[in-house]
Amino acid sequence: MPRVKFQTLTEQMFYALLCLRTERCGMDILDLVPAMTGDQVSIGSGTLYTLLEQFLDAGMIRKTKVEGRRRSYILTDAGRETLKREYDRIRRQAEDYRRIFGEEESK
Amino acid sequence: MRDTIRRLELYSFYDHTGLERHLESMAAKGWMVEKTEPLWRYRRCEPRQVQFTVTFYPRASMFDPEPTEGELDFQAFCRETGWKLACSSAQLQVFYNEDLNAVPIDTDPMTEVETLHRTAKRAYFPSLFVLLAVCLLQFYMLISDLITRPLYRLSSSLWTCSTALYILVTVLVMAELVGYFSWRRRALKAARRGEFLATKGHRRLQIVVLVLACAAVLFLLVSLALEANSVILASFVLMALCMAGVAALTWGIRALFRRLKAPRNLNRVLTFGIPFLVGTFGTCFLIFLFVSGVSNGQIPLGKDAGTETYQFGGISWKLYHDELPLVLKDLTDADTEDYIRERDGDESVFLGDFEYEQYPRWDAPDRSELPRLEYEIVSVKLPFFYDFCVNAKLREYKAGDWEWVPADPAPWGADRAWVLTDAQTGERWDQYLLCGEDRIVDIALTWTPDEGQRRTVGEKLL
Repeated sequence: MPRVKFQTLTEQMFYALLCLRTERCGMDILDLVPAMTGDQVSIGSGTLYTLLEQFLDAGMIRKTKVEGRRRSYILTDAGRETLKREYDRIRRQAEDYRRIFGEEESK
Repeated sequence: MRDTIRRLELYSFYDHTGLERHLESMAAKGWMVEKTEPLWRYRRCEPRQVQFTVTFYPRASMFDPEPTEGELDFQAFCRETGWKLACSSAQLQVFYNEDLNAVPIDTDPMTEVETLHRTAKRAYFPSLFVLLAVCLLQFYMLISDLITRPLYRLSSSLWTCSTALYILVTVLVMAELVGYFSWRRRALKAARRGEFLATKGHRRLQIVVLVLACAAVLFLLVSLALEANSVILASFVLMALCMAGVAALTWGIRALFRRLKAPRNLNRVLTFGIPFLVGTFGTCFLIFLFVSGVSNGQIPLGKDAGTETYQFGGISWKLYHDELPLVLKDLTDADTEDYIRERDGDESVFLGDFEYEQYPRWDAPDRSELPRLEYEIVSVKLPFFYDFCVNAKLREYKAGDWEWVPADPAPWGADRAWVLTDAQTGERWDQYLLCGEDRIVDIALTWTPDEGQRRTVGEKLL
């Protein structure tokens, strides 16, 4: 079944948005995500470009300044809310895991 | 030693995987791609292992005077991660990277599928669907024509070759569309699992279609040349040159206005508008020249070239002296010295359909009393078409007041025979349909033939 856009976020969407808590240009995100995740997650340049366009269209980020080819963005309230929703979802999953395996371990 | 080579690369519009593997193989052989229009151009380089990515920037257009800010941003993003632009053309972007372990340009399968679909909707679907509609419409007209006049059409090389070309183009367009949507359906499923799905185009089919299309055109040209049908041949060549001219004009106008930095929409209007006007007016002008040339006799049509004429009733009549396989002299003692002998018809790989007629001049005294001879010979070259042709002949009179009634084939030396009969009164006419081994003969006489005449007809025509 098709997924409603941004109802859940992929890892790459999640980390791209997370990077934009403070104002950053797209190229910084390309370097920051692998550093932030210990090289567990990398975002391709084409994918990031498309994601930033989609986030802009959805009002989840806004453009703050343009310096040559470097365009900077920052998270909007809508973007922050989406990130929070994703965080809550992941946390609920983690809690469910702990509840199941925690009970087993205590036995 | 050449430093550049140009190639026609036949890949499906969505087959970026196939194209990437091909470009990598070319680079390994020492050829780096540098341009995609009008043919793919490669320059000589040191043979090396590089990684290629063929991707799309959907917002670009072939009418852009230069890359847009967005496109340059996209290329800058890719450059930042080590991907160098080899060439681009409209939405198509070809990058390469010497680091074989570099992070790919597309790391999210869903984004890749969506980007390709947005590109297809903007750049490829409009032309593919228009082409498909034109082919299907043309195909419908050709098939309708085949149903109403099967022998006439199947014996025409022009018709059979045109039909073959439309079938080939339709197959190719359908293969592209079905192939794309099939890949997209599977790619979306894979993307939901977080996996990429490699594309697979129809390269072999494209090559086969191209070879068959060239063969069909060559066959048509040879057929027309062998038939000495110089006017049709010249018209065909002229039409092909005009089409190539309009295509070159379209390409040239777009390139010119891109160089002149015309805005995208202005370039689009001019690129489509000017060739449309030139094509329309040029076609009208050529038709006018052709029609006026034919009507004043400057362009002789086919067998009419160099034919003598005579005047009767204020009209100029042709004096044909064609070779006929059966003439009145073979059947009667009538004086047919001044008779006109006319042969007309066509021949293709499927069958030949020729009509023969021997008749007195219009100015002959007591013309209506004189005997005349008229017959059609259908030579079936492919045996499985034989019954189809017989049935087509039998259907010819079905809707009218006449019908074919079986007759004794023995006097004609035929396998089967029919005689044309008035459906209401049962009166028999002197028109016969005869079947031989690979021939069907429809002969109309102005008298009832005797046994000997029937035998002669069978011997000469079957």
